Amino acid sequence: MIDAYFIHLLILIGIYLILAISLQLSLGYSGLLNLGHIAFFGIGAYVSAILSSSGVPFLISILVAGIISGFFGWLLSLPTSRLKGDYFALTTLGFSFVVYAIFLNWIEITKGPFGLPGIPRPNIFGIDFSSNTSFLILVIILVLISYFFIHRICNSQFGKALEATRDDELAAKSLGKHTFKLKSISLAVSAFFAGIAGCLFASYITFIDPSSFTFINLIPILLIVIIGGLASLRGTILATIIIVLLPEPLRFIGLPSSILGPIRQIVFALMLILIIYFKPRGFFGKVDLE
Amino acid sequence: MLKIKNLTKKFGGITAVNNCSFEIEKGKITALIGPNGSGKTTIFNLISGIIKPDQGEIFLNNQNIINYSVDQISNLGISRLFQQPRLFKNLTVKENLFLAIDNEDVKLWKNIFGLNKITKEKQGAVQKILEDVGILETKNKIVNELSFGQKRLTELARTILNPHQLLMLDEPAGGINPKIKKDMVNFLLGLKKRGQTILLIEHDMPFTFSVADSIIVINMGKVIAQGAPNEIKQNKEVLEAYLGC
Repeated sequence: MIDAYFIHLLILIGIYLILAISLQLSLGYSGLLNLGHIAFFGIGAYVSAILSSSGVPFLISILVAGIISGFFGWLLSLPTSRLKGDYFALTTLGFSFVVYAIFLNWIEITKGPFGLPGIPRPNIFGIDFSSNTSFLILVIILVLISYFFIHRICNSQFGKALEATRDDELAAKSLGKHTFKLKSISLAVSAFFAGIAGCLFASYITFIDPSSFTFINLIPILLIVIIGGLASLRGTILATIIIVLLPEPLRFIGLPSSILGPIRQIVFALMLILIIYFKPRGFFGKVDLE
Repeated sequence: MLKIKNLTKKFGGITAVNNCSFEIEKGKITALIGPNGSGKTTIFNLISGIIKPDQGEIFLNNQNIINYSVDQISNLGISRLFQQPRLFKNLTVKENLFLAIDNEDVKLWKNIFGLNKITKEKQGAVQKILEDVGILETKNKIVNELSFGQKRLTELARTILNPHQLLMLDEPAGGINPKIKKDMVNFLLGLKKRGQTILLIEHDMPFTFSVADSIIVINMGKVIAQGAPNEIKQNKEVLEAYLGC
């Protein structure tokens, strides 16, 4: 029983980690306060759920989910290319509301508020990942692959050019950097991995509905990035573990679920206030939160 | 090398640059001087593509660059030092400089698979420029930790490393101590010896007169005089407009 619960938590940590490091790429490294990240997670979840339920192999589903989410990330970069700070945040927030409305109202495809049940667990080349233990192995593999790529991007000259754009876009342009291209690629790659996380989420829970992809679901992910520290991947790992585990003891107090949710939000809010007050750069942040 | 033709820029009711025309010769240091608010930095912003003129044209080696973006103009060979430090404050001095010489950093796959490496050649170029401007000891420091003077020199080094045909320096000696200022005079003269073309804005007149081959005086957005430093020193209109005597 304890083992099953522990495995469940590890799976959640893995999925949240992919989602958080992908947000770290656009927010921490590129300086784009992307409040539409949860929409990419949702797009990935729905695309893979629809494909997997139609019998498409998991590997193709997950790749298509990532690519379609990445495409929407790139698409979002077009109207937001000249926006910064609050304006960028509001536009991307608007995008997440539009995507949510589509999940809710495109009933023929998404089944609206009833959601998509019976999403199959992955099966790759005959290897069955239907047990939670085997699913955890798959999550670990995908976490490692996602971390490898995002770490390589952030620590390469491409990542430095992204950081330069974040710090001073005009100065980066004055050095001949095509900052629009840099930001577009960053958003697309970030959305791609959010889509991968969405696919994992859908195939783990085996049921999705629009309520999993609202702005409120982005708050813990934003919190992870801020608490871990902007432009710090190791901080993101530590913060993911803390944020996933922090509200867990509340389950054992015996509170009704109607109170549990709001208490969880209060715990997150307190954590954010304490971190901003005592450690404004988060655990290992390299950049001030502006 | 650089030709400005009938350039005009208005901000609301204010004409910042008024039908301005002049030319910059290759291999020379040309200084743009004038009182505060005379339109010098606006001219720099127009040349580097940050703002677009209401009328007029700008030619770099006979190529009209008026519709080019900031990054395109930089890639054509105009490298600019800003009036206020515009460094990448969360990166190290070295990282700031590598960004100036790396033109493959937007190629994602090349970077992911480690094919865009910082070569020994690039490292050598960064080392040399840091030695030349005298801030080698700061190379691994985060820019935020530097003094104003060190930031100025780092940005100067970055501007020079950025591949260019024309260097535009907006008040390079602003806010730095007399010793560094003296070194900077020799450094700029050294650059000229190596055939570099420099367009300079500077308020420090002894500094300007000791490096410039040619001086263009701007007042209220207009060119009021142009010539060798000695001619400008004697020009009554300049003395009246700029020095108030």
